[in-house]
Amino acid sequence: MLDRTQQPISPALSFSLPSYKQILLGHQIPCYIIEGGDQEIIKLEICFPAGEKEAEYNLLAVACNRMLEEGTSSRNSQQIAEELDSYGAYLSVQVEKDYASVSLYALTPYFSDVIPVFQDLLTNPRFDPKELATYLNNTKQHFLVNLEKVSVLSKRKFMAHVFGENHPYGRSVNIEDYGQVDSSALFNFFHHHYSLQNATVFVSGRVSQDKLDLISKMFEKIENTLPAQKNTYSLPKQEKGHFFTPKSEAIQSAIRVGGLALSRNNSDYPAWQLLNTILGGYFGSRLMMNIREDKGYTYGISSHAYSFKEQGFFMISTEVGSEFTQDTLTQIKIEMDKLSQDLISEQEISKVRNYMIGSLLRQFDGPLEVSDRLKTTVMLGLDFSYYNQYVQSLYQADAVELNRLAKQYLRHQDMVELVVGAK
Amino acid sequence: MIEVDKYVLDNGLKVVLHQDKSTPMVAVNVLYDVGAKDEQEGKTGFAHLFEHLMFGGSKHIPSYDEPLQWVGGENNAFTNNDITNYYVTLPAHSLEVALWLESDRMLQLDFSQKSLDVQKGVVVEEFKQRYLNQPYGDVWLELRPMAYLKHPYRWPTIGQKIEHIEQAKLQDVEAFFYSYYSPNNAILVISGNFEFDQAKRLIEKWFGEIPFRTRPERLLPQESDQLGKREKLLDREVPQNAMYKVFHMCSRTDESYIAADMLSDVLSRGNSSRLYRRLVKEKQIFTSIDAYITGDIDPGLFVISGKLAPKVDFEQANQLLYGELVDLQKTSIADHELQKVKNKLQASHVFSHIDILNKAMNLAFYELISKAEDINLEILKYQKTSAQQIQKMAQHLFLESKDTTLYYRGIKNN
Repeated sequence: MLDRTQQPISPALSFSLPSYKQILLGHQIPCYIIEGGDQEIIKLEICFPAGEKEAEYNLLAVACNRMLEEGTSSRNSQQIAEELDSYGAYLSVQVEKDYASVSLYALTPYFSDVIPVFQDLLTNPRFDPKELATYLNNTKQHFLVNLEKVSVLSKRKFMAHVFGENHPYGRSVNIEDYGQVDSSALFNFFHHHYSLQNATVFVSGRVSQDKLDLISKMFEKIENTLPAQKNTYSLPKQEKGHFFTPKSEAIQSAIRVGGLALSRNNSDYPAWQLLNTILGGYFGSRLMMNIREDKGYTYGISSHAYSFKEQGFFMISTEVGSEFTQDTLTQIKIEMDKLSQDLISEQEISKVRNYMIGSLLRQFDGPLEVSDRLKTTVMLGLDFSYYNQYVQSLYQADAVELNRLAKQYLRHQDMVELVVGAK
Repeated sequence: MIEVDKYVLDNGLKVVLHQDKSTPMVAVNVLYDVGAKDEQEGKTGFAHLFEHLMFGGSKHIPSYDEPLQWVGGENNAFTNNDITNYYVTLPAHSLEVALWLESDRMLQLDFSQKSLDVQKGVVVEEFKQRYLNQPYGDVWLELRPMAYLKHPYRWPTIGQKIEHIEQAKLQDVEAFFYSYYSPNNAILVISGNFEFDQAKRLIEKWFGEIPFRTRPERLLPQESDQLGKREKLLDREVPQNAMYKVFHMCSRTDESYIAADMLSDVLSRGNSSRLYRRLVKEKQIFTSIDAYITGDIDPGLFVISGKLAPKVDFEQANQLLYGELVDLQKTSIADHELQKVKNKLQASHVFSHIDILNKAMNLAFYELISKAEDINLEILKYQKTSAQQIQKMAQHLFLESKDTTLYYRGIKNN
């Protein structure tokens, strides 16, 4: 007789860090290589110290990055698009607070065909005033639409309260910024932050020697341009208390609760991540089980423990039916208090630990994924072995340690509590 | 090449296996042939509400999510007008746990009033969060009944109105389960790192005894041909004007579906595509524009949606858009443009082979509309399409008498 009540046995989870190669391009540029996968694809990602925190205002960093594909000294925007599209290649650009990157995805047979246009747009941008105007007009409209979303509004306000509205981690794009960006500002930012001598390179997929040779050629003759100008980092100043922004006829309230928290280079960080996952980092979390699965107040509630390079922060976020606003705020406090007052059972800790390791396995599945993980550690100033230590710390974390962290960092009286919607 | 091994259990469950040993994970996908189109008028939103209930515990297993979390698995599901699709990814050596969980909830759900009451609340909040409390969130609530007058595609998956969800009863839930949740109405796909003989043994073990259940006949009212242009103007508290234009097109299984798909690519896939270059960059009529097809199994829609630049009125935008559509009707695209679209499709095709979950979902869907083992033939059909076929499709689709457009006027001042 088949016993459906018994869960089938499965072996314990194990995580092992994949390997990679590291070489120097042009005798100075670090290049990380993650070779593998069954598909004939290659990803070339070049990272620069050109994140939002390096610019006077966020939009400058974003615009510089996006405008790279809108024309070079020898190719206009349409030519660049045609060239990439006709080989089935595509570009992906990314601007974080701490760094920026430009990635080329290509099918290996066409890699040598698309490398020239990729090199061109990284080294000879045109920042054409007409293209810039179009970019700014279109992006501004998109920005205005985004301001209508409670999730966007509440996140902006939250970050400003937690870090300070002028702090590089706390500030957002403002409408006035669209009038400030011009070609000369872009050239200035570009020369200080996108020079190849300050690049970090990540190559993944089917990385054969001929591909590496082509990439090496890109870095052969690097002009020693201006060194990367890094803004000095100042400590953030977090506010405390309740902040309310009404929205007329709000059918839902957006709620954000949190504050400054542990940074990734702190040895308690993995245990802190475990505590956060238990609180609100997965579907079975304390917050989800209470506010969604028991009370049906929301489509989703979650908590995030995140770390920029210099500073970590913590944020609980949800959108609930307006009439449930007050009770949700109460329940959030109750769930945080429970973690400070009561020890978490070994069973719950084990379950969540397993879930987190499963997540990690997923995030290391395939060369492109591994490349992303490696990029994160390198660009945030950590070693790749961080992940091994991370897993080890997860295994070592126990109820007493988690309780200590809860008492220290889940103090809602010290947090920002923000509501956009109804009281 | 996606290599596929396929068979059918005695109870009608279709099984598709795709082995990929480049990963330490395995994906399990269960597709049920039931979607919003199978709902009754006045009782809409049910297939999606039911999807939520499937996570509330089954006959022998009180919690679906917990055992999976224990073994490091992730899961989710989605419902659309055609199907309800459940998927799990987990470390390969725990495959049996996924099969145990999926088979038990296929066997029998634990119907509970508490679960129903809570999930009604959750779905109502989802309705608000995604459709009512977002700028442009209600577009498809408005557009569907404009495009479809008879066919059940006229209501969205979330439900026609909140009240339908609020009124759902437990006996409706039970009836729905026994009608549509059965092995003979499902497709099970396993994709990733597994051994064939072990997988087949486990599938027989856990799914073999689930009984065949008679499924109600699907008799959907056909949509009649559209006889004239349809349009509607809505005023909304958003900062930017937008327009949403749809044309009826063929079903997913029709031969000419491929040409319609490629036509949408010519129009708006990539930064060198026609609508983006001409209407966004050159003429600056739109700040963003997109052309795509809904991919519905029954005859679906060809959609063109865009946000208008400030000071551009609807008439002007519509006229210039039609200029581009007529251009494609008059002149077939040049070789290099055709080849470019094909190269982009080839690249997508290759990139889609990386992820085992993506492969599992595609295999399940393909088995539903055709047969899984033919999935590799699909890209060849795209490669063989001619410029004339694309031109013919444009001539067939883009007629003013077949045009349904929603003009979304932003009345928010900034």
